[in-house]
Amino acid sequence: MPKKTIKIFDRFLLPVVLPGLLIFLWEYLAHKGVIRSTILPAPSVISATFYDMVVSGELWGHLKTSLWRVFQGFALGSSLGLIAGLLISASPRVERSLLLVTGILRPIPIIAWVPVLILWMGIDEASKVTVISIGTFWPVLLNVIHGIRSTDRKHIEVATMLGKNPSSILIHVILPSALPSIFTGLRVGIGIAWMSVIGAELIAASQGLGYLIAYARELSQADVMLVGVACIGFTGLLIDILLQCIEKRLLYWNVNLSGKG
Amino acid sequence: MTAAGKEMLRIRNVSKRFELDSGSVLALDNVSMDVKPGEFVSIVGSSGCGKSTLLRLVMGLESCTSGNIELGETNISKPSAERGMVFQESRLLPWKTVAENIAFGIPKTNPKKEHNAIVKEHVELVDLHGFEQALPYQLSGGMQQRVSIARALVGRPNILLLDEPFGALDALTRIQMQLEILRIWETERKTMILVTHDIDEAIFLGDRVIVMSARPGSIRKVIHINLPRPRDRSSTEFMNYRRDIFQEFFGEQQKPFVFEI
Repeated sequence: MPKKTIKIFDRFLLPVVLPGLLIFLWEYLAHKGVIRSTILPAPSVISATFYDMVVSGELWGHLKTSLWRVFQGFALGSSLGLIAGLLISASPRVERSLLLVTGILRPIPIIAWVPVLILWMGIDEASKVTVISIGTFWPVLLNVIHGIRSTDRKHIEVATMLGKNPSSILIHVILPSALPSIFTGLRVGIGIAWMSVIGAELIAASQGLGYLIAYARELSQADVMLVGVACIGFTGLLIDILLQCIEKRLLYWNVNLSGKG
Repeated sequence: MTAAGKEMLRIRNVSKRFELDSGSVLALDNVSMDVKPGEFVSIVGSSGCGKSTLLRLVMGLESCTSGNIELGETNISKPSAERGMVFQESRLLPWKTVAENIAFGIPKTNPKKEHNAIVKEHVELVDLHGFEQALPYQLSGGMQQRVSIARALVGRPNILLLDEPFGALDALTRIQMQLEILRIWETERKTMILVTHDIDEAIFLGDRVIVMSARPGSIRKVIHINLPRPRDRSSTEFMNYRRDIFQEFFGEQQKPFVFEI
């Protein structure tokens, strides 16, 4: 085979070979009756349900609701994480005064917040957005602090030597240098945000992908449940790919990322 | 050139003590010297003799424990555009292009509309025409160091401090950069102070070579190099200077030369 063909095979076909085989096997076993369709419907059944739900607009309605919640929660949580990260990095006193609070709050699983927040904020949007923003906040915060801390002191020294003031050093040296790390935080954060929204919706909601799955379970619609699960997975993948594209454009200078140099 | 350009640099009884966890270290002990405007002074010494510390004091990146450094009538206490510095590592900001890195050295007192012209002039000076939009990782070590020199010169300093600027370059590039710095010195007529551990480099470039001894760092000997430029590294006179300086470091017994001149 010519080199180019191998390259295309490696890049685009190799990742889909294994899932393809698994789906094929699954379909085969379902047809043979080895897998019970009430527990795990065949891929063909699930795709048919998926098609129906797309055409009726039902799936899009749930997806849209979940995405909008994630967007709001992520925007809020990541901005707060960024601001808090800057403050903590700027002042050791702020860091010390927050040490214990952050130490206790950080290990709390996001799901544990859901009942508490429902009690405080009610069952509608506010509690869900808050849960998502808590989930986003921590990875962004930690990575912002790490990024700022790992700024090369020699670069800061050069800027000082060239007579730059603190705000100029922040904009020209510290933030660009912290950007790769901040992006890692954002990527982890959006992953957690996407998981949190489903968690929150499973517990209390009347719209959204999490609700779709919980409701389908009550009606024993295994195919609908699996459409919901697959939709969560694919959407998560798309969000991550989108973020990677933005990262590549923004961090064009980062040798580690582009593989050049 | 302004009146400031004609000012003498006076280093008077300078001592520098570093307080470390393991105790205090006297890095410089009672160092005094004058540098005339437009003079090229080389400082040689083994590693740890405080020669870089002396340069950092002249730059204003550190303060003297005792003694003082004056440029004309003013006492040096902090960095200023009057003095530019080039380090062993180029210390370019990886997210800025060559042109942006050079522009980063322009003091903010300079009118914005002159920036492009200043950058262009210095790109030409260090012979980097055509590389304005390149990123640091795309350049060779020697080219990165040229950008670093240009960045140190855009603030139009009267004194250029060179802290082992070619130490990380290969032997051939180093010789090329020495010729380059000589050319810049001859066209710009700036005072230059070069710290190096390369004896050849010190003799090739300097009007004077200052030999420093270590622990505590102090001036051992000052040697005037009375050779016309460009200097021939293989001439008898050059070799004599070389032998004198070698003897300062290694004494009579250990002759570093396998032949007698």
